[in-house]
Amino acid sequence: MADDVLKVERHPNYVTLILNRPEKRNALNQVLFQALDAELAVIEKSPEVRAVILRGEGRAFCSGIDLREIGQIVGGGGVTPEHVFSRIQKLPMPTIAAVQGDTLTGGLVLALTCDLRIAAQGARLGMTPARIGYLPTFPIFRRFIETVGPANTAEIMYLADPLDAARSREIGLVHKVVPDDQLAAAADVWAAKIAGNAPLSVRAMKVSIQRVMSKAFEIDHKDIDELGNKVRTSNDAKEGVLAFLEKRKPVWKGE
Amino acid sequence: MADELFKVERHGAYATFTLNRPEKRNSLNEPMLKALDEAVASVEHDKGIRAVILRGNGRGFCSGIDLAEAERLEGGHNPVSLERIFKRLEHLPVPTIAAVQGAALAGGCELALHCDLRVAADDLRMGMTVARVGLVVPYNFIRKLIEIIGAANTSQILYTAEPVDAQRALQMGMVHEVVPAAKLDEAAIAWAEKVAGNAPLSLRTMKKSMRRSLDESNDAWHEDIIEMSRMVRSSKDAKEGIRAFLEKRKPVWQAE
Repeated sequence: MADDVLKVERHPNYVTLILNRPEKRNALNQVLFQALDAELAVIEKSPEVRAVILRGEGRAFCSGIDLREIGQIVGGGGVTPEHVFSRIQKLPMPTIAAVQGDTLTGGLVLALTCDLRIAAQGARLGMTPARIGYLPTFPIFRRFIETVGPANTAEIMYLADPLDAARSREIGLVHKVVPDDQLAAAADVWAAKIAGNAPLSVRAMKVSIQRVMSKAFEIDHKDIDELGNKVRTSNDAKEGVLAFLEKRKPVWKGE
Repeated sequence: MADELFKVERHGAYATFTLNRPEKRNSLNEPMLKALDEAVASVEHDKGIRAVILRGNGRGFCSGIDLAEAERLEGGHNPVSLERIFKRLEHLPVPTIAAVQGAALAGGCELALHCDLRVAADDLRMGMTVARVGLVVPYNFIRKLIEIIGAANTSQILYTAEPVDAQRALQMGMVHEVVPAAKLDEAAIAWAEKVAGNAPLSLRTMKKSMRRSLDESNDAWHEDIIEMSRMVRSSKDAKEGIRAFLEKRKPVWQAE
């Protein structure tokens, strides 16, 4: 179906998942999270799938969570972003994000849940929650610090200014930069290369990397989660979202 | 006061701290450290401040602790201990930006690293020259280096005791951006304004998440190393190193 929010291409040894809401810069809404979750459940149990590509249709990879639905998505009882992100991170086979154009906030987190990232030259990668009074969850901070270190994480989070593809490559946020029109092909090459390696080796390697990192995910952070919930439900957060939708500058009150 | 060793200025939503001992390349003495401690304390609970710039007047950011006072400042027992004050700076609830130029050495390098963000002038020379004078870097400062530039770069910086230039510092991730020396203040202000324009509660909680994530993965046992460091600091070599530095001659090491 052309109007599916998630398109799935099945290749002999790998699967490509395509975010397909180009008119909304592939913003993640509830339907899209549900579609991703359902497809991940299938892939988890498919030993013949040796790599997964995640990419976005149109000019942007993904502009993040759809702010029009953020109330339901973050607070609601449906499929949560954390659940989907964690499910991608735990997939037993390597995952490759192919990103172009806007790769922002939830969109960048989505890319970071993958093992490898290829960017088109025109990509803009950033975390913009500080602009609207929101806050990434604790595991997202872990993921960033793991990938680009604390100093670069501080720049990305506090300035809330997207980085271009070249700078992203420098700090290790992406592995490779290619001309815009070669992005899909470059991702296919990597997926085919991985799928051509010994599947048991590759799966065991992925488990090893995950295990090395796992201790860090056991750090107690309940108090910070509480604090995060306060920030997300603060007047500033409401103001930030409203100002974004009304295309004006927010007025912060620190409450 | 023009002769203040340390200046604190407020500019709307951010504060600027200035090391102001240019004739000594802003080397840190006891009054300056006390003033830094007080300045940090004064913004800890100030909800109006959303970012802090730390800069140095003159040609260099900071050449480290004033070796004429090294013995008093280093020990860790002293209330004006570098480690305690830098840790307080590191845990300041709002983002901090160091604007570094010229010499940012030893304690001056660490001071910049204990900020969240670093903007550098193209004439920067940043490094840990401590091994040259037979002193030792406190455990927490080594942890800080590893946190920012990784173990391999930390080895280079510590063991060669050779400062790196701005470009190399940028490559290592020791600084975030390099600008022409004349544009340094402008660049730091642009960053402070950008940060201060973001949502204050988001920023504070982000910083808390980052510190937790780092602190708890870094609280390895190191009592033995603290003991070892005490020994090094009170060694004959350390006394010789400082004396040689002050007398501008090469030190003679005896490994005792």
